[in-house]
Amino acid sequence: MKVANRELERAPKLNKIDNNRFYNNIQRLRSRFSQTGYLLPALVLLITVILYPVIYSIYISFRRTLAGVENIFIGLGNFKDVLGDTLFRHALVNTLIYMSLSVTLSFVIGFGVAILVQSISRGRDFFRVMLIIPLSMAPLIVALMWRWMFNPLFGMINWFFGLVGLPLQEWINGNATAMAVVIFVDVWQWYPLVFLIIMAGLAGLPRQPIEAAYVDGASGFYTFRRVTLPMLKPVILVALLLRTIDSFRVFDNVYMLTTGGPGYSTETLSLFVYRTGFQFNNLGKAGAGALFMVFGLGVISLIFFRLMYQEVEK
Amino acid sequence: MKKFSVRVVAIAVVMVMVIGLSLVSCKPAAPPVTEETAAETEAETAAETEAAAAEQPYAGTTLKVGNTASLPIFVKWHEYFDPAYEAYSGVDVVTDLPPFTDFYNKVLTMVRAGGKDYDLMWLDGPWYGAFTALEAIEPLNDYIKAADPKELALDDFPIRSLAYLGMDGVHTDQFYAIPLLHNVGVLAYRKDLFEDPDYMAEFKEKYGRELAPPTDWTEYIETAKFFTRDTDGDGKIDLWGTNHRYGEPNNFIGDLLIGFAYARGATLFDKNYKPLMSSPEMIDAVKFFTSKEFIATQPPGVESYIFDDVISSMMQGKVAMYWTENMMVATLIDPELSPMAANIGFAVPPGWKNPETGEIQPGTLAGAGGWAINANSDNKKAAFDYIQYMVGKSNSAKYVDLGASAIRISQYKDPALLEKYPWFDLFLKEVKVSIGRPQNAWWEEAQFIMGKAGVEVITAGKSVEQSMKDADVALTDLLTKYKVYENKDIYYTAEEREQQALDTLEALGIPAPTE
Repeated sequence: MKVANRELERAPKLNKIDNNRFYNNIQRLRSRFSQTGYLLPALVLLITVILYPVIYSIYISFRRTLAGVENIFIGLGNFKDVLGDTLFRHALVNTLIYMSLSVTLSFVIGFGVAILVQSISRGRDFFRVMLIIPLSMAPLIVALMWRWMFNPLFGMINWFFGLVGLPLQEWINGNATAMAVVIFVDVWQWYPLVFLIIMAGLAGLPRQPIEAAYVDGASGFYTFRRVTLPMLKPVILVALLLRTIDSFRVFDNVYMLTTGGPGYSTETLSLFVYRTGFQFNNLGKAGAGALFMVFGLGVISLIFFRLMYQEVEK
Repeated sequence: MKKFSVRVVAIAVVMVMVIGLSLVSCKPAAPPVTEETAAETEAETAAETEAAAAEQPYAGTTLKVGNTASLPIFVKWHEYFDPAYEAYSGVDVVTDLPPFTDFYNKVLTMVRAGGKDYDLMWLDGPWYGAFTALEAIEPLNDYIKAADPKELALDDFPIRSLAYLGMDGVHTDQFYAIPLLHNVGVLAYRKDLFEDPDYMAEFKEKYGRELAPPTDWTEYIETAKFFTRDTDGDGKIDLWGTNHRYGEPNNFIGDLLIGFAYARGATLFDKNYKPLMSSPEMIDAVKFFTSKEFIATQPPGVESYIFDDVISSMMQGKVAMYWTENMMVATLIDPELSPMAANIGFAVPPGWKNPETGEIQPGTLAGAGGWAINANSDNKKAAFDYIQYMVGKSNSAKYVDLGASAIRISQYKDPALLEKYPWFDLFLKEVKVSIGRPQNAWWEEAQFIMGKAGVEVITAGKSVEQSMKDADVALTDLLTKYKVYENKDIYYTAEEREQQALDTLEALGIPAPTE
């Protein structure tokens, strides 16, 4: 009886152990699959909206996709076509000019304003809010607004120029001024991004090294150049990377302000790809143009990442 | 506490939804029905439903319509005809009106993907080929054959409208669209300036003739120069003679063809699609259009003017003349849209005067387009019914009144309408000599090459001769890629296109139009 009882006593214990083992296995499986499960929606989304279009772009860039003409593999034909297109070369030069000036100016202004706002003690929050207003506006609306402001006949800018006796300008209608206007509008809208990033960087800097430099008798400028700036370098690189990528693939601003004109003095790479693909219905050539852009962006990003990596290693 | 508040919010949301849905589904109570009346009511309802089904065969259908909001005339038509058609047919009409700039790209992308976002859409004439090459729009011959000939009345359209806005220039025996608007060149001018006694006297003294809308290119440039002046005495020019679109390749080629190239006798291609941008006639037209003397009579920055800029200048009274198309008439004479509305008159645009014969040679572009049905649509018959409703004979008067524009011969010639819209007479004259752009799948790119060549003359200082030669080379390359020469495609003249339209009408049993 006792034995039997003992057996009976053991049975539930064994069951309990088995249950625990089973439960642990389930838990292990669940945790293993839950990691993948949590990632799955994002993976599906990435594959659908990024990976598939990229693979399809590569695929069609090697094919002739003209309406009414046989769709066949043409090797590097579309790439040769793009490189031989004078409009593409114009667009590339324009994009590089746009990118270098826009990034430089938005960085210098954004950085300067951030330092200035950081240095004031009263009304800092007010200025922060006011200065980021352009960033909160839709780029299309910004471009439309400036398009009317810069209209040579009815625009406010020329009205103001006339008021103070300055010679009236052709602005978006002039060959020499259109690119300047497009860059100005870009800088106006995006310098607040640099401002925000630098402000965040400044707020996160440790106070001790700066205070130590002051205690050692360093001047304000010297402290800024030798202590603050080196510490800010990774943040600066992030700001520059974001602005460079953004201005390299500019589309909305130029499209709304000048549609690439006058002539094609403000034609950019994105506009070229858009026109070729959607207006001329030549998706193969547009795909090839887009791949050149991706390659360009890849090189730019690589340079920045290398610089940032070096900074981190230091 | 946090858990409790989340629960309360969730319960509240569910309650609101349940109560809301219950309220929405509530209907007023029906009156009590006796057994005797029930049978009668049932019979009546069945008869009504049968009659409604016969009269409204598409009732309950949702028709998705695509058009562009960039032309106010289109918006006016939709504002009136969409609800009117809904009441007439029981169809639910959903119209999308994006801007013109992106419309072609939007619709082409939709049909390439096999989309049904639109059951029918307005297409610009030169776009047809890109859609027919993809078999994306429905051939309409069968629909036309089945339609009421007195209501659709294709014989009431000028044959040139049917040739360029109903067919695609590639398929020579098939209609693909029903014309909605036939654009031709028209010279808008400021009557207050042209009828000003001081200006009239000054002009007569200077040029030895009466101040009137110019009839040839020489008069055009003289009149434009005359009006380019400082009107308020502050030493700055504030009024210009005219303005054109030079700013963007497609706009450039549009204005060149509307005003100058066709009038000069130039043509874009020969019979075998050899490009003729460097022909003496085309070079002559481009030279006039881009000459410094001519540009000096236009506002500063005109080198980059596009569609919006030129009409704004006219509406704001900054220019004395504006060479446009009839689609803009409704906008120009609308006092709510144009401050100059009461002062604007319309005239036949200046033509090229042949120095040998002294004759003035007219010529303009056959612009705009018509309604086409998406080949992927599930509601093709309803779509055709909608088209017929909008451009059919029954609504002809409303169509004209809303848009100050005509599309039918009976509208152009109606004495009552002519009294109200005296320019209809000149529109019909222009329609009869208008020439359409090629409508092949490659046209958009070809147009860009041609326009780019013109823009380079202005912005890059390239010579007209060199620029046009380069355009010919680039066009030949493009057409080779599209196998135009390999397939021995033919570029039909306006007269040949008219004959194709007449033959197609005959095959459908429709009499030939009188104009």
